[in-house]
Amino acid sequence: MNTATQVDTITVTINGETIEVPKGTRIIQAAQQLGVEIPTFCYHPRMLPNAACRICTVEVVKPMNKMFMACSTEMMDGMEVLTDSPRTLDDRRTNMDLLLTQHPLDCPVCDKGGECKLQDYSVKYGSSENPFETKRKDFPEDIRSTLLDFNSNRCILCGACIQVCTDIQKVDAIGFSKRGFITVVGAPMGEALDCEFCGQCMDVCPVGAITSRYSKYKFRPWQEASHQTTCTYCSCGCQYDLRSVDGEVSRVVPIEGVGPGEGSLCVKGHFGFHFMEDEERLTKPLVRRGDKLVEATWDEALTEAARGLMAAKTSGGGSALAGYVGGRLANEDIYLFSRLMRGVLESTNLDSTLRMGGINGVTAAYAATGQVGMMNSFDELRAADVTLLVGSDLTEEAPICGLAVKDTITRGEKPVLTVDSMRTEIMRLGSQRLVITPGSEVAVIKGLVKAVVDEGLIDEQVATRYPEAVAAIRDQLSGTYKEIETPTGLAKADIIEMAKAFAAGDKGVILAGPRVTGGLKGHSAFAMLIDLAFLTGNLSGNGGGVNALTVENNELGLALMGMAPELLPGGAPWSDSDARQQVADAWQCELPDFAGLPLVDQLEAMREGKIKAAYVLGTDPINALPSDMKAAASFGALDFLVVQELFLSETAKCANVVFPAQSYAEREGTFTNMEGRTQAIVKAMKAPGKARADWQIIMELSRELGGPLSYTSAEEIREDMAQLVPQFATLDETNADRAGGRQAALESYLDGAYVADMDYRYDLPAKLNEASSHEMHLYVGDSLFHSGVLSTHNWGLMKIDSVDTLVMNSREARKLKIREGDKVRLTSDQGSAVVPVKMDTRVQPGSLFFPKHALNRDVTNLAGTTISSATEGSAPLYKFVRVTLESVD
Amino acid sequence: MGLMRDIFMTELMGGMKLVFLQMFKPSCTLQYPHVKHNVPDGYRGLMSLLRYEDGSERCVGCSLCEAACPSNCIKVVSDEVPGQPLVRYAKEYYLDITRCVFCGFCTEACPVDALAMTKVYEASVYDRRELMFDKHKLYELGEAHLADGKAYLLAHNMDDGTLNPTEGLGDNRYEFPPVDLGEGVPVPTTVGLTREALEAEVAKS
Ligand code: SF4
Ligand code: SF4
Ligand code: SF4
Ligand code: SF4
Ligand code: SF4
Ligand code: FES
Repeated sequence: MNTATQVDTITVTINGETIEVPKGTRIIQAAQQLGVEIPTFCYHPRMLPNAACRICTVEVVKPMNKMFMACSTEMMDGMEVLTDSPRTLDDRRTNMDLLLTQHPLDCPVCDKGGECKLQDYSVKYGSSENPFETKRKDFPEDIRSTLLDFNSNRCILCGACIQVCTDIQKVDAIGFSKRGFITVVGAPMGEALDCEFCGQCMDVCPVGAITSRYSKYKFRPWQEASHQTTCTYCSCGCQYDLRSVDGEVSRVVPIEGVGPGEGSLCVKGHFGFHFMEDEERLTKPLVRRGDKLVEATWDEALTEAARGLMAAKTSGGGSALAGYVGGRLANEDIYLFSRLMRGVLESTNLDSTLRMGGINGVTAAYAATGQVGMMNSFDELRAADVTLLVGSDLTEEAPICGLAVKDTITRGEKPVLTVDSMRTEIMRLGSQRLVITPGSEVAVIKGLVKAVVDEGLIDEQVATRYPEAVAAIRDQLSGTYKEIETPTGLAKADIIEMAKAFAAGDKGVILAGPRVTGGLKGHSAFAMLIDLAFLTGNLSGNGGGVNALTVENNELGLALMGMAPELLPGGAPWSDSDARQQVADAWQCELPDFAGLPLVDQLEAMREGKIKAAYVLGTDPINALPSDMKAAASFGALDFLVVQELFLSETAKCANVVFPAQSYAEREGTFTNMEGRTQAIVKAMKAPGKARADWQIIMELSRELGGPLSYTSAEEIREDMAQLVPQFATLDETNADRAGGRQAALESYLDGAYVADMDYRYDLPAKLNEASSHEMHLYVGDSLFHSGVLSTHNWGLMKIDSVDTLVMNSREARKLKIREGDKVRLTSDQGSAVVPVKMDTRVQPGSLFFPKHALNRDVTNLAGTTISSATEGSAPLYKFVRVTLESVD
Repeated sequence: MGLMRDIFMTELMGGMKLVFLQMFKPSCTLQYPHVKHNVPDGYRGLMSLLRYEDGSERCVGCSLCEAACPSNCIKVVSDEVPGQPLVRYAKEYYLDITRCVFCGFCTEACPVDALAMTKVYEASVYDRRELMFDKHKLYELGEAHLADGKAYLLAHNMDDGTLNPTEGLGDNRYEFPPVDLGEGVPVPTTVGLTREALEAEVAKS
């Protein structure tokens, strides 16, 4: 064979049709391109072929005459295949007979009935007479796990579930046990399954061997209505099919190949569909009469709210009003709210949950690159040569983004470097890890930059082309490693080794989690990571980059709609007077000329009586913030408080007017995920009672106030938004090319202002080395099974994880003679709390973890909150707490 | 010829002959509603749901009848029997008789012979809503006309050889997969809702 014939494409023939395909294409893929259907059980487009079920058998007539498995056979040039020749059909019939020999006649009660491949293929390829005979398995169905039931009688042993758990989810929770005719599938050693409950094993199972307890016997596929929508829990923004029977949600089904997760979901999206139907949902507007909230009509509530807000505005001007928004609202709502507050009520005191740290990722990225949102798409994360993950437990905080990183490990066998104070799942799977003292992220980051500069790891092109920028960074790093080793508890050599590993990769991707942006000097820490990306040549549009992870599902939407006093719609800073003028022109109004207050200052102004009225949407500050931030007292001091919510939250209980809002499943709108994809949510079910969509409520309130807002649909708002936030002009579900943006990113970085700001950036905060009489580090953070208060209204998720449990290191617990379920007392300078414990090796000795969504407020209240400086995003820092732990009897 | 026929009124005679002959035959006019029709086995009358001999419900809530019905008049709401893991039943079952075309497809679709048509053909009522049969009503009909139901299934060859009309329906009972609840946890034994349980349920709602 000469080189000329070694082309990249080959010509093959399937059922007489000829097609050119790339080399390495498998028969099944070529057939799919031609629209030829080949039956498969164990094949899955995102996994390597496992060729266990043998149903995909096809007849190859050239170059040899043989039966082959379509799912696993790579095609050769000139190959001729027949997919439904008599010989193929004959073989398939035998296969079906063998599969059905042991299969129970469960179809009437089996939840797969109606969409079961075994049923379909029996009709298509099977025979009515089965020549084989054997005993049925008759294994009891294993229903011990909270969520997934295993019926091994129905299992056809295709192995897809095990493969998805091992290769995609990388949890390895299930397998086969026993052998031959009596093989069973489930958790190993006959244990009850207790895993991440992503449910992907159930999704890939071609039969009804794995079914969900939460949807058991509740649907038949032909009874269901289907709605493609966007998950409302985290910032990954997964797409799924929300199925309902008679207006009640029956289940959530992933859509293969669609959305950021390409068909993977995490437990929240997959099984957290009960909150919409929770009985505690608000159904009617409430108005305060004396010390009681009583039900009212919309007219009464709107008039009352308008009156209260207007009274405050009349007496104190726009600055006497404040607004606070959560990241669960749709873009349309946030946009209208911004317009209501700034344009109609003339107040700039509006803030959002971005304040908890997310804002730092936004402002630092904008300052350096002129852009908002992640620099890399999930596809680029999957293609990265090396990944550096700092201060995030992806598995818990952004599970599907985590799968993209896991994918580089499985498919590409690429290094994943992790820096964190917890031994996260990705850390265990990754190649190199630095376990640091909690809260010292900023110091390690500086160490990594220093190592890159000191060890000559700077990308050659960067060093020769941009010497000034490199020199500016180098100037900041003259100190010794001591200042890094002490607070982080790391050795210099380890930091250098990690820096080397990162610099060695071609496409290097950096991911920074909430413990970076919401940690000490969060803004600077993230800026240093941008420097690190720059130095290693990853700002040049090579597929690398640096990305801040956001937590709430529409946190990026908050940023793009300018939902913070220092931001404007479009992501530009408030201080940018041109951008401000543009907004004023678009809205045909004057924007107030005072800079608004961030949340913490708003709270103080409320207590001082300077802010008299507030409007809170989709978040519950009184519950979320530790008590030393005095949120309850602040909101209590207001003359008038309007709250718009799904549930009667703690904040809503203090309100003068409460508006019942519709959930994401009851209305139209869009969410923007952490990558910057804007995806639609659709109306899938009826809202309870008289609840209305957030944008409608805001619009009607504006009308009461004499404002100009008037729209008939979410789409109309989107058209209006497009002039200020062009990203939203069209929905972007595919997240197309972003290379152009990256070129601009580098130019913007080199523009000077950013580099000049360096002096302050590299100063490590003194608080890093602060001594404490309390020995343990407690971190209050996100957990896989929950997201905000929302998920606590899901009986399903609450059953898996009831959230009020402290996690501690197993070995340490043993040493302290604490057993699972025992109660311990945590004491901090602020107070004490008693909580039950569970063990996990995820937490390192000396550290403790508590989920931030817990209903037990005592632990959150242990925090001694400090507020970071305005440059660092005025973020309240309360998630790291020093505590002493003792067991109580 | 024509004239002779006219003179002797042969046609009339022929007619009268038939009349006189009929006078001596037994009458076949049924004095309905004073006298009821005797309908054959397999007659497609009002639908009913059947129970097993022990009183437990046959229907496993598979919704196949709903899928088979050409006039979309069946609605099955299936669920797990509370307290009996894995046991499936129809929590609610509606059959809109006003739309039923009495084709019997549903009975043929049923894998557990839970549906059978009775010989009841008098369906008229003063309030149409009474013709929206619910589960309770359908089981009531099944109990009241059990013999009809059995005969129906036999006549329509839905007995797979085990059904014996003299001894009641053959135990074509659906066997639910056994449950593994781990060591020491008692495994529920009853299959389907018993009559008492059903009545308690109805009383509750
Ligand atoms: S797995 Fe498929 S064939 Fe087997 S019982 Fe369930 S629906 Fe029927
Ligand atoms: S449980 Fe389903 S996916 Fe797993 S091996 Fe059995 S048939 Fe295949
Ligand atoms: S919670 Fe996040 S990762 Fe999980 S399904 Fe929803 S969007 Fe995807
Ligand atoms: S008899 Fe025919 S029309 Fe009537 S309920 Fe059954 S399937 Fe439907
Ligand atoms: S009557 Fe028969 S077909 Fe209809 S739901 Fe019940 S068991 Fe299924
Ligand atoms: S799909 Fe090819 S062997 Fe299973």
